[in-house]
Amino acid sequence: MSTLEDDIRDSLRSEADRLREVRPLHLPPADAHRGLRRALRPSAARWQRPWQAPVMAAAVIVLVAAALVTVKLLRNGSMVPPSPPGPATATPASSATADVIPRYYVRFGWATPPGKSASEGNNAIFVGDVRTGKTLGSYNLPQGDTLVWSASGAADDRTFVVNASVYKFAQHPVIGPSSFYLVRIFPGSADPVQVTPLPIQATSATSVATQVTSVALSADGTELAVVFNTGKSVGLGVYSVASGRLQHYWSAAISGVGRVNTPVTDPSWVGDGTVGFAFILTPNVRQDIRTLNVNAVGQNLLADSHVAWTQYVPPPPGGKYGKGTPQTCDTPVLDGDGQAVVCATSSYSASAKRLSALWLAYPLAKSARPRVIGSVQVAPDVKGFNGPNAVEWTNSSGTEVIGSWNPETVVYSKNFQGSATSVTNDFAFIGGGQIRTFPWVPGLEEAAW
Amino acid sequence: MYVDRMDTRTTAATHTEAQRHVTALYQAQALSLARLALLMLGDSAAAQDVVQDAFLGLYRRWDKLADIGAAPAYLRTSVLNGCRTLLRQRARVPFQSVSELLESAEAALIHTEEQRAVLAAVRRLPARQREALVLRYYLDMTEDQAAQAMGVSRGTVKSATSRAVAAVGRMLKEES
Repeated sequence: MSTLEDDIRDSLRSEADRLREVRPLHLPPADAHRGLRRALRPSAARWQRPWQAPVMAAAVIVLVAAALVTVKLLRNGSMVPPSPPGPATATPASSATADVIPRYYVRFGWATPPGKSASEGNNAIFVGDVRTGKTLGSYNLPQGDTLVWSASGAADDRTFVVNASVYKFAQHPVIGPSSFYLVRIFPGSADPVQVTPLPIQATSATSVATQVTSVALSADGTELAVVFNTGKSVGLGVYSVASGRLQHYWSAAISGVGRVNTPVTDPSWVGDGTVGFAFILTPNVRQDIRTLNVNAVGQNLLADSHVAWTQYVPPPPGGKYGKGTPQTCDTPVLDGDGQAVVCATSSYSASAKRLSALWLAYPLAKSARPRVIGSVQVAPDVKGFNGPNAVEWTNSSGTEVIGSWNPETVVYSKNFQGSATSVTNDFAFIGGGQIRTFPWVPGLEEAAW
Repeated sequence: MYVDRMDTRTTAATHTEAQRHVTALYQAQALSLARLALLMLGDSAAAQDVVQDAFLGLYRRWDKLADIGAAPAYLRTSVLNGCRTLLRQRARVPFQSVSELLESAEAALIHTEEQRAVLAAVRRLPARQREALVLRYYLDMTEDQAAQAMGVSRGTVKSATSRAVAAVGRMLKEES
């Protein structure tokens, strides 16, 4: 290569290096991204637009069976009592004694070394304490762009497994491998967070490039259920946390479902021999909770599992599902006792003109009505929820949850031509007669308990 | 029972999955893309505007993205398209902003005299030749990759690069 070409290359690099930082990205609170959110939390967002509130006022938007109970309670004030204007109002469903609230969480975030710019940072796992709002420690992930991750905690609130798929963007993107980490927390010790890479190989189950979409750690922290999407099939594998060995794998061919639209979501353990999972092939029309005996023989995820609970929205008059059609309950998860499905939804009271986020437990017993775990009535200026409300964690009896909801408020500013939408990410422990919101922590919306 | 509402922070930038992914991509890719745009435009403020627009475009179209692995290529194409559009506008309305003048002063302190001369020559190249040069010598793309990024044939890349190098050499000789 000629000297001139070398000079051009050196000059271009020198000029490029002159730029050392870019200003932060400012994204509008747009609403065009429900697809992926639905993929991970398969039910569609509701109350997506401010104008939907009056449109929907005539009806309550929770699913038929739940709605009848819920609306009645809302209207007679026993669940969400009339309240003076003010901030979000929370109403527990019962006054039972509170159980232990999970205190520690793991989340994915961006770690910037002290004195360095953000561009010199790294993707990292963070461990935090919701009681104090403090971060206990962090662990840097391999270089790259970690775009997919999932995590799950054991019953001791001290043991977590985190999965992170590292994407390196080059001319030809390098995707994966999917790595697993054991996170253990030792509060009060000099080294309160210990992170150990686990010898779990995702490809031992699927043998092809794959995407881990969710994980569930057993209550005793010894086994890990992993949900995969290869693009052509969905799979569920059970691994030994100690050895990383794949113990059993089931799969089902799914045609026409992209990698981001995994129909198998929200896995959970019932005891140490059964895994429950949501199977949602047609979001907002039908969702099943299936149970799988992980000690039984078999390889077919659907043939070898059993439908334990189904929620179905019949077609409205005219046969076309639309914005006014009742929607299924979001993030359905089978509780640890295997007796109820816990999920999140929302409700609008026409009489009080107030919107609520609502967490329900559907007993598996047929004809049993859903039980209201608790609700949060949002402030009057909230016009809707940005994305589905969610169950982030539930206790084994399905009586307590950590719930999240994302109220949208239209704000007017002199600096804007018109209005903008402000969205908050709110979290609370709900149940046992209490509702406790968590102190705000940056990135808490990426947390797992 | 009332609950203290958490402060009314605006966390829209990380709220949805799309926001999370696009933000993660921004953290990983924005600087290199802004540098690419800087080489094309010679103006860091305009370069960052183009990059912001590219990420905004990705964010708005996230639902339509079939494969998240394709996002970087999409972003680079968007940045190059944005640069071309801006260069066309500039060609119609010659204008040097205050920031460009300040940058010129800053660049004078950073680059060697030889580098300044090379960069001045590169900036005088026609847009397509400059783009070919940047893709080939800054991003180290092959001719095929550059052709794909520019939306032209491999032969066009080859000739544009060759002409650009020759033109830079000629201009440097004229300067000396």
